[in-house]
Amino acid sequence: MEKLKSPPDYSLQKVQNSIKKKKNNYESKILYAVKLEVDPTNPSCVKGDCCKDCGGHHYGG
Amino acid sequence: MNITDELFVLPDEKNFILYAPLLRIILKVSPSVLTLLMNIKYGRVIYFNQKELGIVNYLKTLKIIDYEDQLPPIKTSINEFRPTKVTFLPTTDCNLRCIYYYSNSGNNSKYLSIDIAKSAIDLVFRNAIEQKVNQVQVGFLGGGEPFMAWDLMKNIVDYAKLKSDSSGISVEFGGVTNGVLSKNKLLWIKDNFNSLSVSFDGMRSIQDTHRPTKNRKSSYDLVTKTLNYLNETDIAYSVRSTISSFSLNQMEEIVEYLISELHVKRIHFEPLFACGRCKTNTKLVPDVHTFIDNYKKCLPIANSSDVVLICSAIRLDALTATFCGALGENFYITPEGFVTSCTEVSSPDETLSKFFFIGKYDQESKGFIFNKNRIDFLSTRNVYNMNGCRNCIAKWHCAGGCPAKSIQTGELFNSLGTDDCQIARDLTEYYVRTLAQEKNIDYPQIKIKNITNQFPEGVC
Repeated sequence: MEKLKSPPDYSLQKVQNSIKKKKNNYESKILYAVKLEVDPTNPSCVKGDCCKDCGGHHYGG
Repeated sequence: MNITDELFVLPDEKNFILYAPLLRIILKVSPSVLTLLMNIKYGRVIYFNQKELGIVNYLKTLKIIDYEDQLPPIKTSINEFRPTKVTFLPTTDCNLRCIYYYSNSGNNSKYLSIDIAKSAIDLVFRNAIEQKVNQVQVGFLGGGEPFMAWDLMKNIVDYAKLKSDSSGISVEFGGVTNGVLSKNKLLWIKDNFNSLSVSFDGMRSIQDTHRPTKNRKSSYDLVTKTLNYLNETDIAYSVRSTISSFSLNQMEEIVEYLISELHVKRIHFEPLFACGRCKTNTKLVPDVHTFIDNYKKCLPIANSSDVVLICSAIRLDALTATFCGALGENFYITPEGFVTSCTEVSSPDETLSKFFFIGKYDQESKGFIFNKNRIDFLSTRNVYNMNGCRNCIAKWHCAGGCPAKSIQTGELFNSLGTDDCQIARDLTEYYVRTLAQEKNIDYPQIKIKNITNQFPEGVC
């Protein structure tokens, strides 16, 4: 598989064509929603703030 | 009315997934909801029916509509570099000869002097007092294996504790090790360290291929002994495994093995990358797409055992404009007394030192001199200045990724095409899609809260 030069553009402006392809669904519906909440009691890094220092390359886990 | 600019839309069979990273919200919506959002964004709405009005009001409560984005801050200028954390790279000496480091790593060893170390400790305590920070952090990393400079480390820790006692500012210690440690060193770590990261690559065949001793013998038994000891203590430790092309297709087995045989609670995978002191045979660099696929397969194994699995490129918990402290914040002291901001760059001979060496110890003044221009320049490398990241779903989590890797693969302000970039965008999308499918997938430090039941009547 070849590496993408640019990330896929998932901005709101870029999805108009996709909406048209799915236009058979006319009902306005929110089907599911989740909120991600940061839990400071369970840090992602043993050091506690890896993102600020080594970016998680060395500390972490 | 306006819509948050930081909203990403993923096509999903008949519907769409909306991801608002700054709000930490994921929604699964029908196409008509998206049409509604587009119409609001471009001012094309003059009338809402009752159901649409309910949806609009709900999206207002989530701050997706009519809310000014709270963007992660940046330091526009660092007028004064005043760190309260210091990390020592005490030596280039090492008792292992890992195949992915420079062939001469560990030879011609250099050791940091205690005078330079004490000066650095003095500085961070002075800064903490002046800035009213109540804790100083002291870390130890490679270069080589930090515990090869054990006497120096003990002296540094003793000195920092004295400073802590006299100033009333607490001090915390942590570091990394290759795990080849005597019982005395382990006891000392237990008494002094708050956290530890142990580099260990997995089963015997992998560990001994990747990380033989300097006499080209097995290191496996030595490191597993250390891990067994750590399990008997309350030290928060993690195992950091470097994945090469050799171990790439054994990632699932490595996770299963670390959990079942060594009872490891935190596993940290990093794909091998030819960077800084890790200049290596490129044949050892794993294929990034296979790494991503295998990482996804490892997640349920770790999740089912309540084990944390991470990789630095995927950081859902972080909302940041800069990837790491290398961008003008870190205070890392090399064995020769240089100040580097990047853990990957520890020798003045490395090309990257002209970016990340931000100061040095001055024998005459017995203090540190900092290169303010270089610190200021590094601080400009943030996601706001990286055009390629503009519409990327992972941009507020990886913030442009590792600057050292960006430089090595092209340019500081462009990380597109790096393996980290690929991992960040693929795995961020994978997590978002999985969470939107109402499937359980754990991520450390993140609690997943289903808010579907908060929908007002008529919205769903």
